[in-house]
Amino acid sequence: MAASSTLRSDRTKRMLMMYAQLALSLAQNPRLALQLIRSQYRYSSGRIKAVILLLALLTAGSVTFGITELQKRRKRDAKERRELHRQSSSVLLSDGWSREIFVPTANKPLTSKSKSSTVESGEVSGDATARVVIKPTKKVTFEAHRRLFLQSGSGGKSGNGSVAEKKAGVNRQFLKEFSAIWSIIVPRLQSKTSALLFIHALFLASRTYLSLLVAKLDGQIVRDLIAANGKDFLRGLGYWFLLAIPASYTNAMIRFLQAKISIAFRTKLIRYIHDIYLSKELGYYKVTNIDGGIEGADQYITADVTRFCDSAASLYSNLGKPFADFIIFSYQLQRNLGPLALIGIFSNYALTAWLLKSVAPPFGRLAAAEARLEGDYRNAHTKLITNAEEIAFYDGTGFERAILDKTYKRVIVHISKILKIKVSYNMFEDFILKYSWSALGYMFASLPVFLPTWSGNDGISELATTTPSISLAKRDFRERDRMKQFITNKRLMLSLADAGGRMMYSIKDLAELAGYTSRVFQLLSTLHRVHANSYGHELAPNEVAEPFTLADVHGTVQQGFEGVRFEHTPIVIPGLARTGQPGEVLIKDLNIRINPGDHILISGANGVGKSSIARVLAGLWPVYRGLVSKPLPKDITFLPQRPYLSHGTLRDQIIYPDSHADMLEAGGTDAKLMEILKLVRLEYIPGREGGWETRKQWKDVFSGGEKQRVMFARILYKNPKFAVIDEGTSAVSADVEGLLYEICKKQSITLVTISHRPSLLKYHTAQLRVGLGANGDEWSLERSGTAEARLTVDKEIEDLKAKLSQVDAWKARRQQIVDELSGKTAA
Amino acid sequence: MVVAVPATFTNSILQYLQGSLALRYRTRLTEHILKQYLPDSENPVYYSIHNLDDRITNADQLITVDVLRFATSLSSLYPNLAKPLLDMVLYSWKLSRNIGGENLFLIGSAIQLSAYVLRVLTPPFGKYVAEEAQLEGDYRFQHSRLIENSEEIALYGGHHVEKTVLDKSYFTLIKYVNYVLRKKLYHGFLEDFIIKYFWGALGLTLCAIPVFFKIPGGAGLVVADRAQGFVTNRRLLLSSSDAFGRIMFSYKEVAQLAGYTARVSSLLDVMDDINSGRYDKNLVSSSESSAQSHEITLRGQGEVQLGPDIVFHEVPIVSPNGDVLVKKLSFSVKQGHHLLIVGPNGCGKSSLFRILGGLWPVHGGSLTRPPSEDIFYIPQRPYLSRGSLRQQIIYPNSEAENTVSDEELLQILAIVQIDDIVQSVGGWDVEREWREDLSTGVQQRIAMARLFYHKPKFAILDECTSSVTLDIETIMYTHAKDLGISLLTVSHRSSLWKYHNLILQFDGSGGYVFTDLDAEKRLKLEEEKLALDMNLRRVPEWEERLEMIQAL
Repeated sequence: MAASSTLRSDRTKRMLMMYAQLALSLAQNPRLALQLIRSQYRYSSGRIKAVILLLALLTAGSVTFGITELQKRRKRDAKERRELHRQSSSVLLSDGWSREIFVPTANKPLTSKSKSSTVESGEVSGDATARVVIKPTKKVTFEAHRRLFLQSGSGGKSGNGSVAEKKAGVNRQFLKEFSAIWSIIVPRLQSKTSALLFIHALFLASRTYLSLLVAKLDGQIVRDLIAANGKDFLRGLGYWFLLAIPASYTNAMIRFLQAKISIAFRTKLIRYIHDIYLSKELGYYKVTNIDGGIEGADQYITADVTRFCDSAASLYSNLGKPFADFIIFSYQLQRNLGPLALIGIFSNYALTAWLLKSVAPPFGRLAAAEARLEGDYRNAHTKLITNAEEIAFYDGTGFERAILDKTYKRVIVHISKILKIKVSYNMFEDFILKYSWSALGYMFASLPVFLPTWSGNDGISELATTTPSISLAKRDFRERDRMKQFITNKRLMLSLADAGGRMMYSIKDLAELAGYTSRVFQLLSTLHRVHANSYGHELAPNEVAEPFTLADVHGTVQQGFEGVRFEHTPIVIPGLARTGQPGEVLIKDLNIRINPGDHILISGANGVGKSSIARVLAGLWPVYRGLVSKPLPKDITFLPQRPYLSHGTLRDQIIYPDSHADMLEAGGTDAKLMEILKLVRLEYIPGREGGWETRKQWKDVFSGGEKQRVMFARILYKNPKFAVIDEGTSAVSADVEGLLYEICKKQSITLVTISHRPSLLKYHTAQLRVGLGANGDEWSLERSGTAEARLTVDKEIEDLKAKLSQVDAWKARRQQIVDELSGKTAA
Repeated sequence: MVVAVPATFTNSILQYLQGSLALRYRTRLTEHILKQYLPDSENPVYYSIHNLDDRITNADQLITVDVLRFATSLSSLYPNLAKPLLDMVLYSWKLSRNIGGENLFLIGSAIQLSAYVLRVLTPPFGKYVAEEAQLEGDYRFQHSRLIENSEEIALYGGHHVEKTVLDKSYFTLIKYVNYVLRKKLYHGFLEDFIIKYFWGALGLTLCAIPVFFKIPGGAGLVVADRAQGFVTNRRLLLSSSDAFGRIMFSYKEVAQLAGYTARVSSLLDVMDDINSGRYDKNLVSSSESSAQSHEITLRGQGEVQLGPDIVFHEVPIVSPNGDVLVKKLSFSVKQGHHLLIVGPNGCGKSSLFRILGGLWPVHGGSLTRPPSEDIFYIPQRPYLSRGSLRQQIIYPNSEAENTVSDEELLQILAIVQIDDIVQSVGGWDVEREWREDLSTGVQQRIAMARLFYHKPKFAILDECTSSVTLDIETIMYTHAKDLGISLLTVSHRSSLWKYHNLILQFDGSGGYVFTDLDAEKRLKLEEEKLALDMNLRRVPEWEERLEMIQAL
């Protein structure tokens, strides 16, 4: 038959085509390549059969391999599972660098519905934990990246939100920012992320190949059906089912991998951000209080990073798949329909892309603005919750509601604006992509029929069969064949149009990605700026910085000093780097030296800079001039004005900022903690709260005075040489206050107390008074007489004896007073 | 091409409508929630929901993110379901005419069966979604908390601990997401297989029926005719199976929607419960027997009446987690009297105010209190709201309600001696992050200025002068008394005693004394006790010294 001869004559061409395909998209994939090579030795139906069988086998193989691997890993994990996850602890691994933590995993009791999920049932038993190994980002990495993140902005002052939003769009700035972030997401070629990306690409390619096979098989089945060839039809159906297994596996895998890639991106970014944000450079404090470049870092880290990763991963998938499809299908079509159609298709694409790009509204900027507004709304809610008690007492409900309504309105107005803008764009896009393209598609598909000489293989077969001396049977066959070709071509055309359409739709996604990129980049560059302590712009050689701006920090900090020393140091409230304003000078020139044993009280009126001295000493605020010497971090503790209780167990509250693992390593025991609690008169707490392992919202559990005593317990636990106490006893009664100070002194902790209450002076040897002078920026230091007048030994004995003889009388009198004070004898 | 114009118009309008619908859903729902969350009535739900109830852990995540997701999911569900349903009915009808009803019934039941199999094998996505949202909210909460307490953490150098907490929270989330993803993988495989390929094969078989078996009044025998019939059937079939497939796909979406619905409705339920006074809080009590008696106390309901004075009559002081601090408390403060409340830490002083302020429910006895606009509360930690400097003074009034001129406000500030901050910050209308910019002492003075601005009948002062100097304290108290404000003070500072004539003293173990206060006598006694305490503490030291000297 003529048809079969044409088929045979095509064989060499087909082989060539197959090899080209191999080179094009599947070169990296030996598995598929093998199948392809093998398939060359069969006829088309045979080839399909072989490929299907192989694919099915391979799929089954890889699935079982995956399951066994998973189970092996589970077993290993189960062995290493520990109870440590309950504490907020991490364990340093033996390489001295990475840490491991244990997190609870899904412990959902499986419903009878999911019987088939035997794989998962191993994991979900009881209170399961999983081990996570965390590899902290190396310092070198931050230094290497600093250049990427700090130079690309036009000066440090560009951190302003509105500026960044204006720039967000698909342009060079976007590429620069994206590549900077990319270097975090995919640090090396061998990293897990790139492996995922690679596997995803493989699956994409194999899916494209599979859909080609499906198209072909479909055509074949239909041909057999039209020819009423029952046997072939049934065989075709059988192949169809066989092909379905790898095809649907591939589809599911692609979706799975896309989500995996998004998670991998997010994990990389989040780990990086956590490491730079929570370092000893105090990024989390300085971002809001010193730099001010971004507001609501939590929104950036949680919401925007997630959106960025989702958007980037879906874009990769949305662009990658159509791109692979596009190349393969257009090759196939070119073969079938000829170069004319291909040129038409390509020029069509180029034109559309240009058109769409030129009419697209600034989606990137809109997306960034939306993210910011959503963040504001969220922050208003968070603020309400944190201050719920105060607001409830003030009855400020109506006021807070007005604020929430206002922020919400802003979000809504913005979103409806975006929606309106999108209508006209969507119309245009739809018109171009759906309708004009499919019209063109029909035109191209009809090419072989109407213009055989201009077209590819189909045209040739068309020519071969239109010779006049053709029999009726042949004509019939030709008609059927044309049918098959048309269906195949149409399927290809549709897939191609779909692929192209998706690429075009991605223009919008790309613009949105640009918006998120600018948000994430802004976060990262701010963090880097804070990390590197390089606020503001670089000064030109002859330029003199305005005094006390952040570009004008010249002080020195000395660590490991035996004592605390300020030498010609001004105490300045730093102006935000974003505004570039100079700081406000509180104390002009502080000179003081505190030796071990010099208990000092810093006193003064409100707002003259008492707490600020502690902030400068702790390194929260910059040292603008002079020298600040301080002990090593382990020898000095700061007790902030507002008691802070961390998230964790009761034990964690006492040993904060140590973790339980640190405590055990340092030889601490719960008994020792109990002794400390006894000292601060809190021994009833573990009993009341249900033991050391209890987890609660401690902020709400302890009363004001209990909080302050827990803070003192922390000092006693850490046992430093110096303790800076900022109004640490304002909520405890006077007798407990004295007790706390005396315990600390007994443990030879040198106290630096910040308070406006002169009554505390009796526990100290010196008083530093700040806020003196006409401008309130001067200070004075008075040492009270430390040594009592030396008494002779005899007199001292006498004196002591006299005192001791009074003890019982004192005790009696004390009891009397206590009774009277508590009103028992008053009646 | 002519068809294309209205078609594109319809499409994008559909999209627009869907977007607007989501927005409308969200707005309605948010408005409804906010109305309950921040009610006009006395009950501060936003406080109760976190402090008196355990069921909702992060309302902010619920109100912002989950409501948004719910609205989006709901609005997309309608077009996702409605159109395929319509399509399916239409196409099936047409098909049945082409290939006969019996065959369609056969195929239909095959589809039904496979759909049922798929449904049975679908994991509970709704639950997954809700769980994931919860974990996401937790992670977010940890971040907010870090920012809220950044200064304290920085002073402690606690970033290691915080980082571990954050890492842990993040990886818990990620582990869960991975777990759900694995479930989704096998489900996706199944779904694809059944919907795309199994149904596709069914479709082909269906098309084959008219070819291989004769249908009464069926198709002709010519190939071209057969092809035409086939193409028509095929098209119908494809559309209808696509429609059905979409319904199946949206089953997953319905499940997700169910998850969001569960989250949002749990919030609504809890708010309803709170509004009707039902709380659900884990009771933390040392012993079982006492827990029972606590429960009895917790279940009780007290009376609350409005009146000119503050009268507690046998009101138990019970913390929300079930600790009974005082069994029955009775005292009264008339206008013009000033009450001092003292006692050791954790004895229920602040709890008393919370009950008085309506934050905690009254579990027994009867409480008479003036209307809330006559009581003003100044907490230990001053709360500075968003907004201008003027706003800080007149809070919780809004600027629109303010009838006092800036000069008068300046005079109020002058009383607490911070009139210069108006200049230093740059005027009344400057908006700043006040909590960061002002020292605690200045914040406490602003809180006091609020009191002078509002001039209520009663003022509750909870350690509100802990960060101001003695002179300022004196000025504040004398001025408040001059304005005729009755003061209820909690403080450890003896310097405040002289401003009060009543005392309520807790002993820390459930007992209390309520008497007149003789400040001077008390002060003397207290001082004497302090001196005695100091001496007594030094006794062991002296004994040691004595031994040492005598040994010489």
